[in-house]
Amino acid sequence: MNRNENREHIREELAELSPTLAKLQGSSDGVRIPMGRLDNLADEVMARIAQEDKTGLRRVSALRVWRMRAAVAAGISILIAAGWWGWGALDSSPAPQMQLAELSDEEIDTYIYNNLEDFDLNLLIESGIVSEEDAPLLPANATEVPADKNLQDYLDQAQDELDDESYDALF
Amino acid sequence: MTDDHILGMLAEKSQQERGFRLLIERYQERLYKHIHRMVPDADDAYDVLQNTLVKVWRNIDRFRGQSQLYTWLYRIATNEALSFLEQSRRRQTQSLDQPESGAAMRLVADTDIQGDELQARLMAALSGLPHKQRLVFNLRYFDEMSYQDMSDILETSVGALKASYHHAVKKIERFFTEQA
Repeated sequence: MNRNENREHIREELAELSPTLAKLQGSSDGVRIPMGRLDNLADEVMARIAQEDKTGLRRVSALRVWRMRAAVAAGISILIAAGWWGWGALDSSPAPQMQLAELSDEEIDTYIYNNLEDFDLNLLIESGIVSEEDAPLLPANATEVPADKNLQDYLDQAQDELDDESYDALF
Repeated sequence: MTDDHILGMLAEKSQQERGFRLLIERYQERLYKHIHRMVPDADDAYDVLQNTLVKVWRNIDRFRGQSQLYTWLYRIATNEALSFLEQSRRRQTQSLDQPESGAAMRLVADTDIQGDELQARLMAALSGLPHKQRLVFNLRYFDEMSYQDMSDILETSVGALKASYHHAVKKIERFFTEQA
């Protein structure tokens, strides 16, 4: 259906549903843009983008970084527990007491860097662990995004950009 | 200037900014109107439009032509507008599914919203609709968009969109009758 046919179809549909609205349709598109309102839009948007790029302004919240570190620590603890259990099956000697909470930030960062391909690229960028410029240098499986997921990614990103207060409200 | 031409420029590093400026020039009015029909305050609508365009710039390399450029832009604008409304709702502790009590008056009072009397009544009626139903009505009534394009933008089935539009029209019709 081309654009004109579609428009005709829309008007016929509306005429059947509401003759009043059908008469009104087309008389106005509902919004008047004051003269000059959008004249500087492109400049303002480009200036804002440049400013954000310059200052590296990314809304990386401390809470999100903390949550990611907690998730990584939990992942490491599962791996260690699994290894410990497996070793224990071979060797019945008492295993050393591991205090997972004692993992330092440095150890966690090292683990992340050594296993980058296992992590979601967006999460790494948002957490400031990997810069956007470095993203193309990562292994393909870490950066590959299925083509049909483009918009879903955008929505996920929008959701991720909820501020801390909003996160607190959710959890 | 076609979308393909603009996308071609955006793909070339040296022409990216020029391509983006052309994209803005081509779509700014439509996007602003689309957003402003959802976001009553003109300044807020302008801010949401800016946020939309920054998102477009940051994500343009993810657009791979599986949908039309304008439906992709509308989708981002729609999400930005809904996010803004959701944040406003949280601030005002209003329910998303309930009509906004103050929005009708703001819409009618806003100087950017056109109005002879009937038009003003339409805007007041629209303000009484839940956000998502208003969105469906706007896309169909003002933007004369096909259900398929709306489906691409809103990720909702064509059948559900038809039902939503019909409900919205009936509600507005009823509003007109009650106000007469």
